[in-house]
Amino acid sequence: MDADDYRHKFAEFLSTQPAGADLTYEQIVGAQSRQELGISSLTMIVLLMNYIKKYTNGGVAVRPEWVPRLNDIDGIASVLREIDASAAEPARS
Amino acid sequence: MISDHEDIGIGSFACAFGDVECKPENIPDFEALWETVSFGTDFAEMGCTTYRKMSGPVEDYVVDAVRQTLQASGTAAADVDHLVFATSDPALALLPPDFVESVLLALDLDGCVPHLVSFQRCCSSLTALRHGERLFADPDVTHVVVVTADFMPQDRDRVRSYAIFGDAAASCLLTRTGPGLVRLLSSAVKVDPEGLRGRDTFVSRKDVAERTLSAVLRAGDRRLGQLAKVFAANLHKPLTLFNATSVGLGPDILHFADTLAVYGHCGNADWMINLLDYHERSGIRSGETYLAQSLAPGFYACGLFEGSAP
Repeated sequence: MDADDYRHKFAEFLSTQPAGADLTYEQIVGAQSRQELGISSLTMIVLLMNYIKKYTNGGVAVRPEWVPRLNDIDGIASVLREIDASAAEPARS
Repeated sequence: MISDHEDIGIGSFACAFGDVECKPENIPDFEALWETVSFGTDFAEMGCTTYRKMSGPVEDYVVDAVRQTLQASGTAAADVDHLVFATSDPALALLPPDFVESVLLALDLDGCVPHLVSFQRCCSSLTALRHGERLFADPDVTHVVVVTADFMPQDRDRVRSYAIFGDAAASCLLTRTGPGLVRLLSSAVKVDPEGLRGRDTFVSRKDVAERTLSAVLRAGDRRLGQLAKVFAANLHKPLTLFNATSVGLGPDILHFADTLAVYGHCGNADWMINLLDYHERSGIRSGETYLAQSLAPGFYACGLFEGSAP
């Protein structure tokens, strides 16, 4: 999946969350920043935790380098991509 | 930043919580208030189920906490040289004009010099601790009490985007005559200019946290990996976990969730509440390194401790 695919995956995921209840799929896909969507810092953190829970069963920890990327939609999409990639990595002994 | 008085023991921690147990959901218009600050986030995920409210004047709770501290340490009121009081800016504006006199008189602290530390919001108490320790530069000083209190008269003000506020006072004793429970290795408070302007971001919050944490670790000659436990501020659980993770502190090292559930965010008292709670459950260990952490819009503070109990 490329960056654009992850933009769509974020839109699909957000539409299943309470924070996305008033947003259309097109609004999410077309947005540049989470502020445009009315997503606060707290909401973004909860979304991130819920994404990790849903797609990795809580098996991925937040990485410090992800934090600055959570303000714009491309950054968020790149973080989701890395979460999925981390979950796909074989477990380290 | 670095401690000049490494022989000063800090201990006899005590808390006096608001006496009325309340549920956030019972605050009038709670759902509307929460929606305003949370933008669709489920409150159940925030980790706070109850908070405590003071039904009487705040000075009664301050006196209660200090009295517990003196009793626990077997210290006579006449032996206390200084009392350092810390509170957040909003609570400072609510103190009665005779606040300090009533506290000193109620405790018979006749020879005790009072001090006030504020203007650093919920980070004021860690600065108060450092100030209290520096008072030992006077060789005649043997006992210093540091006490903090934060409270909210209006329940609707308790509901914030970053925490649910509860009421509490907490205190501890600094002495050169005993090891105490911990000693202060270093402390620091730093400013997030964006936060002061109400424009803090993930980046600005991470930046101030990293600057503060690295300053205390450097001054205390410790590494992140040496921390045995972190006494975090009781912000909403996802925020606390995220903030810690963003500077490399994993969730397992934090001690805050149980006290957050019962007491909410008690402003300046959080780190003392969590340190005491941890000690009662697991025991502070001599030689181990502990971190107390506090933050507020515009500020971040850390205190680095070493367990000193014999």
